[in-house]
Amino acid sequence: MPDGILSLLLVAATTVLAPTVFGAGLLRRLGLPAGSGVVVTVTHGYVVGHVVLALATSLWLLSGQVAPGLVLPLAAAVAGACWLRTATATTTTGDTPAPREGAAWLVTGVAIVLVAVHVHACLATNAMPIRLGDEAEIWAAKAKVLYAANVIEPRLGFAMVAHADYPNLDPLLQVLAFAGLGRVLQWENRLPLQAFGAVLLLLLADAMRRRTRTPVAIAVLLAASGSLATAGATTAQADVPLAAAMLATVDALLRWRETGHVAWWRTACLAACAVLALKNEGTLLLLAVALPTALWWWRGPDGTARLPRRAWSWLGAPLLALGLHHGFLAWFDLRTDLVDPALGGGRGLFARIVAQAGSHGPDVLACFGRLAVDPLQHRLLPVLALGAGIVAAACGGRRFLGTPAACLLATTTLTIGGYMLVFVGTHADLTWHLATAASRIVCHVVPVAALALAMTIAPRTPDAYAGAR
Amino acid sequence: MHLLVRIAFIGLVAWQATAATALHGERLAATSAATDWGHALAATTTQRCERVLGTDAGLLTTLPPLCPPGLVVLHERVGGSLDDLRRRTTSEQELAAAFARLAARNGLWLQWTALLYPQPFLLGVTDAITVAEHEARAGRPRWLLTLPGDPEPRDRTGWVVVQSSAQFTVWRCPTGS
Repeated sequence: MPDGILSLLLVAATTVLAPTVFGAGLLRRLGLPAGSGVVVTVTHGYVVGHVVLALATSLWLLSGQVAPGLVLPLAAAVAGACWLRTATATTTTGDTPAPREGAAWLVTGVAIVLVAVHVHACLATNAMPIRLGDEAEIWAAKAKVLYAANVIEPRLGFAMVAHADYPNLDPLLQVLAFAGLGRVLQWENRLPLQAFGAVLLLLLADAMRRRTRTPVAIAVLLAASGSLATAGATTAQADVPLAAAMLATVDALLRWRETGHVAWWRTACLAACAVLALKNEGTLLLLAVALPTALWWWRGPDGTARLPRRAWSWLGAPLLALGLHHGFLAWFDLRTDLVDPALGGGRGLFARIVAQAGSHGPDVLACFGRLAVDPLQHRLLPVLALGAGIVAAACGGRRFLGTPAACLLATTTLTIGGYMLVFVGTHADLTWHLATAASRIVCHVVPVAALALAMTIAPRTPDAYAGAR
Repeated sequence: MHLLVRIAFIGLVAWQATAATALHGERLAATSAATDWGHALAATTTQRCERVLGTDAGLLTTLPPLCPPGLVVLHERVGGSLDDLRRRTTSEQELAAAFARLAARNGLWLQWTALLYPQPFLLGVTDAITVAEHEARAGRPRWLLTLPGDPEPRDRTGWVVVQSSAQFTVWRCPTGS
């Protein structure tokens, strides 16, 4: 077999298949009902599997690579398979799967075609090694420094990493690829990150299939898939994985809200770890998820989504992820330039936001305004979602504000608003910062906006605010 | 939500879905035409590097076997601002050519650094020869990689040529020199 294909298959087995089996088994172990559906188990399993396996990879690195790296994916696959086997045999209670009628399966069918298009683009990208740009200078560089820590002291190696302060999940996924094959790789390590593009499409398809009408679900899915290229889905960058982890968190929270299964709450907490461990923006994204969810909870959850006292302890998982990241930064004396006053002209991010609001604010507003109405960037989905939300709120009033769609719209608005404020407070050249990052980071919330739009304009079940028509 | 408003939103989404599908089709056709699939699927890592770096990929196979594990190989950092280049050139054409040369040189170092790590670690510094000698005196062996046009330590004591070709020269600065 040709070297390239063999290498690709081995990396696919160790960094895509093994974490998926592990994650799916773990979710079943955590109580995910057997009737939840294959697509949802596999997609959520991929996100959760990687975030937990990354912890094992970190311990393996910390131990000085005490065992052969192949042990990591092998042990994960075996554990996942055992959990799947035992859980399938014992779990009888069913979740409410997505509708099974013929038309609804079209959504999954379209998602599979889009996944095939994505795979095609990934294979073409992989003809070239990772050598330039953020995927090389930030993500792959950090993965190589972590993997080679027993040869070159990381403090020295970080000199070649453009942002060594960025969170570690993306590099750890690449380390898993290195560990599986026992050497540093140059192009195959994109694979676990590229797979998040497929996970995102399938997850969005399943989320919409469950909650919206089929024709609209297909149209929104096709439109949302257009932003994959903007976000660099075929590269080793962390933006599409972050968008997928964000959608997984939101979807799991919605499922908990819809079904009352505490397993979905646990899944949401684990997926939130991935959001935090992928990029610094993850903290803002989770705040944008947590605030509307907390408000909804405070107003009184709607019967099904009760939370046993012990389940609250799962909030410790994202806190642990945050703590580990800051511990890593402290250990290696790394600083985040956007928030560190020492690197931002003596002022922290919030002080700069206030001080620069007058000078930077109009440019930031203009840039985001252009992005909102440029179909090539995000297919108008965020602006359409917000528009639909405003109309629905005007028509449905308080009834609409209590719906899950309103919660997602609030998340979208808070995220984009938060990103705009970060740009206002940038210490870098504003024009450069907006040109290189604005369009790409809005992609983090495009899937959530897409889901919110579909749920607002074509909910599958009669909507809560229908009476106000 | 009023039915007509709902239909308007659905129409806008359908328009964007059609546009996205058309773009997928265009990208698919363009990627298929531009990709050598035999290479994309079956090529070795060395072949993939050669495809993008040409003869410059030679360093990727030549240098690692020469270097002990954990070695840091210094090179002269590509520097200079646009103002520096303006001072050294007489016309816009010359300036553009000088800028392109500088960018290409910087790009080459970035790619070599990314693809070689950790065997060895290529580290760009200002005044690489002096830094290497200082590090060597402190007991940290450092080698030096020079390209044609870079300052070379030919006249300085202790330096030994490890490997030399038309494209690059690798120097060793023995510890304690």
